[in-house]
Amino acid sequence: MTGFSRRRFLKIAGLTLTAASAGAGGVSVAAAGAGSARVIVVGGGFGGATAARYLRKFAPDIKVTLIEPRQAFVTCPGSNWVLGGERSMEFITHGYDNLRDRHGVEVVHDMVKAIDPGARKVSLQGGDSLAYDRLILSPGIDFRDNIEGYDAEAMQVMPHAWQAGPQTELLRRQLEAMPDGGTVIIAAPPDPFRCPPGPPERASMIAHYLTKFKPRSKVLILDAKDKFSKQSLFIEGWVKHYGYGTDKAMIEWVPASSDGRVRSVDVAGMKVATEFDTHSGDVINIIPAQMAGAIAVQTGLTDASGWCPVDQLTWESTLQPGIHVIGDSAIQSPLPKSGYAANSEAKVCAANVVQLIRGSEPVEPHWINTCYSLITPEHGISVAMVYELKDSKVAKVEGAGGVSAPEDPTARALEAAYAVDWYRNIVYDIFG
Amino acid sequence: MTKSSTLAVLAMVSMIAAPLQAADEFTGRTIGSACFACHGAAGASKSSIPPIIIGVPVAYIVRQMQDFRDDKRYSTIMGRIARGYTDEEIVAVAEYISSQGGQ
Repeated sequence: MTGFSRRRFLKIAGLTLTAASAGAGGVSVAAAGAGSARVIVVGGGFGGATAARYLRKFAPDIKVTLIEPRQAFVTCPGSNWVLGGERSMEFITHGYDNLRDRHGVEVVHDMVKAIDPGARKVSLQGGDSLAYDRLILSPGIDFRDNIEGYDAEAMQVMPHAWQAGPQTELLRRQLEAMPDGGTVIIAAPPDPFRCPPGPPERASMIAHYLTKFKPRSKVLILDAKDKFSKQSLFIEGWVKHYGYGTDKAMIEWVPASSDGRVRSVDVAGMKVATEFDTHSGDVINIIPAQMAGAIAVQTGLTDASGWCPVDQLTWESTLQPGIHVIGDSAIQSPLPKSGYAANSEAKVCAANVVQLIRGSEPVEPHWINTCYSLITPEHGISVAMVYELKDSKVAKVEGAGGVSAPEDPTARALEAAYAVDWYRNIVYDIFG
Repeated sequence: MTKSSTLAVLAMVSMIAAPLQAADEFTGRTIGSACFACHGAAGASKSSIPPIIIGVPVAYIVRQMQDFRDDKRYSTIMGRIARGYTDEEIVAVAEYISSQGGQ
């Protein structure tokens, strides 16, 4: 990290100056250092809600407004546990009262209509227009149109359940209604996508439910990829609990190279088609390919990849100065598109937005990611990594991180407990 | 934590070959904030595991992090995390976490 500080400082100072002189739209960035600065955070999920809270923690003099249309946030982490019948929707639903009442965040429940990066203004569906000195955008994901026939109507029959909430409840109801002996199809998406271990954990949790209540049923994963996160640990668990690889297997995984990629859906016929085959399902969960949230696209924050390029020191967009993008929408690799990573990015971003507003040198960033998955409620696995900034990019710290140790039954039991404890603590860190 | 006690902790730390670099004044806060995703806001965990780390003495946190890192203490995940930090960063984060008095 030698030489980091001075060079970065000059670059950031340059950016700040540019932004200040570009503030002809009537928003004075220069005045922001005086304690009247306003940061608007758009999106109240893992990234946005964390950023709002930590901005207030790091700089109580800065006014923070969080814009989020929903009254409560339903987390994707934990939603597979709901599908498995182990947790309730209430367990994964969190309101914004503490952010407002305990942490001094102004919470506005409205939808952003447009962001004007030149004028540094956000206009809301409700009619209001809000000025900002800096904006942090954490809009999550949107879906690409990569599966023929999978439109808004199809989602009500074949839920994606990849944005938690009513979709999670719909998929759960379908699982409950399915007769014993039925087939659940999960169409897993191509990289990059939100929550890399999500599809195999979902298969595990559904298989856990089926083992208890519908033991003649089956989960078929049709994958657009040839490998998946924590693969050897998942397969170890599937062999142990779900007969994986035998003729009695409850979970079957078809990789892309074995014609696993779903290309179209037949909603009326409850069928999905791959290149050479057609599969019928009693419950069909389609997880489409993904891209940055619509507001990011609309604001000109995405590049040809469909995601948002950022300076990974400050998470400021490289396309629109004054707007920082964090979480799933950002190009964050090698950090994964996970809730933990969004939380970690939000803290670094909040710290450096404060530094930028104060005209101070940016803080040297550090990030952590940990993703727990449950194979059964008593069998947990994890992947973890520590990250640093190297040559202006997020880099894995050599020698750190990795997946759960092989052949360690004690660890599997402990990590099943840690998974739930992690969940409780991260939502406390964000919404508590 | 005073300068002399910091030095005492550093002296206690098993020295590695590379010389320690001067820590950013924010190093402890930046690393510590990332810990709270598992250990709860300000390290005040809502669960028995991962434990509450708020207010735990610096020397104890440093010792545990080193023992996790060096596999002297069994862990599922802390060894994997602890191996991501230098001795100096471990001291910085221990000082920050130890000093957390609220959220």
